[in-house]
Amino acid sequence: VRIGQFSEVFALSHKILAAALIVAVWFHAGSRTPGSVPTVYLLVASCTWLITRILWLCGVLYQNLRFGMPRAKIERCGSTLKVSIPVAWQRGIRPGQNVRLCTPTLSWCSILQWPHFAIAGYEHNDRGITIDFLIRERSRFTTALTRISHHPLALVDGPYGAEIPLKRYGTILLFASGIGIAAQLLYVKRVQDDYDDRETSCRELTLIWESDERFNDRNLIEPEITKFEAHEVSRFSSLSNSQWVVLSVAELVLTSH
Amino acid sequence: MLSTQAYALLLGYTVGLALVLLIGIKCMQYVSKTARSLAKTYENTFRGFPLPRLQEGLPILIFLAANLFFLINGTLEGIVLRSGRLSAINLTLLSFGYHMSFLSYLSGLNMSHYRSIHYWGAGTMTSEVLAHTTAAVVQRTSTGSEVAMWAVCPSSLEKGSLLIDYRDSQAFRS
Repeated sequence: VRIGQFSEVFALSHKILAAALIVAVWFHAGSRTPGSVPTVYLLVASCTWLITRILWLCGVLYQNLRFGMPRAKIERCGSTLKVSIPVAWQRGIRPGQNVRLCTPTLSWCSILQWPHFAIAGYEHNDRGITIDFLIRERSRFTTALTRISHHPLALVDGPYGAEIPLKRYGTILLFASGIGIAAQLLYVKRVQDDYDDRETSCRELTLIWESDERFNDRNLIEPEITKFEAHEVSRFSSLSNSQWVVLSVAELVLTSH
Repeated sequence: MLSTQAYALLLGYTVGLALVLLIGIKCMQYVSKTARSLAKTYENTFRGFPLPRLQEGLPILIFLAANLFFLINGTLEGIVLRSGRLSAINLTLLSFGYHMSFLSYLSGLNMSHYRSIHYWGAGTMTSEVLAHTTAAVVQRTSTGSEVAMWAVCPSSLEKGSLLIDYRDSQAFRS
């Protein structure tokens, strides 16, 4: 949907208009001494905004710059990128969560761009976590990201979002289309980890992924699916909207140790 | 005589009570069905402003009732002042929506509850700004005073901000 491409413009316009509203009400108010009504409420609103901004900035800088400048490692396959970023997070990551990613050196205005990306995977190391994203080239931010040859400075904010609990289900069917697979991979990992810890009722998990041949990204994404244990991947090809679509079905049958 | 009267009373009360219960259940079913249908129509019409869930409903109702109580309690001149002040007070509530995901993480509040509070706060504030503008125009027209056109500026900005937010929420839904 086209409007979705301008979501950041809308979000920024909303904030600019809100700030303009505070200024306009300040001019509109009869008395402008700080303790008078309604100036005192405008001051409280402005201070709340400022404190929130400072707290958020401190949190982002602490999480990202604690062990030095975090550099993103970018791996490209077709029109899809696998971006890995080391962060000093202490809190755990749950499936279904996303983070906001910023690469300040990408362009002159990229410090203002914080798009959301689903976490596709993570690995613990001695300094925190290295998180992986699967990103498809679409426009502006993602196109600029594909043109980078070096390891750019990358800041992440998050993780945000809630997990859908799957522990009480015996059979789980996961569906994904295109790059949407990125959001499902952590669920597969969680089910397998829970099974190893004997904390889930799940015995069978089937992941159905529809991929478009135009993007030529199966070599990058399929290893992410097949790295799980006890898997069996079968593929079916079909013609849809004049394009070849490959349907990959990964079945994860969990057996007793 | 007494036993037949007792029987008549017992029968009357039993049948009456059963009828009241049955009609009550039927009415409840009808009310619930109508409410669901109204909620569905509302959500289809105003997609950017979702209806609050049950656990969000009570605080929002209290919030709306408090705003309404302080707004309508007085004369037209009072309404002009109070609606302006109430909208400025509600602006402080809205200022907590700057980094919603960050603040919802810090506070431990569910993100959808947090978003709902922000939307309903914004809706209430818009209504109060509208009431403030209308009451001021009516009051000044009736007393023959001049209506300053630049005073419409905050009201327009507020509506613009709300509209942008509505468009924005549509964008995130798609």
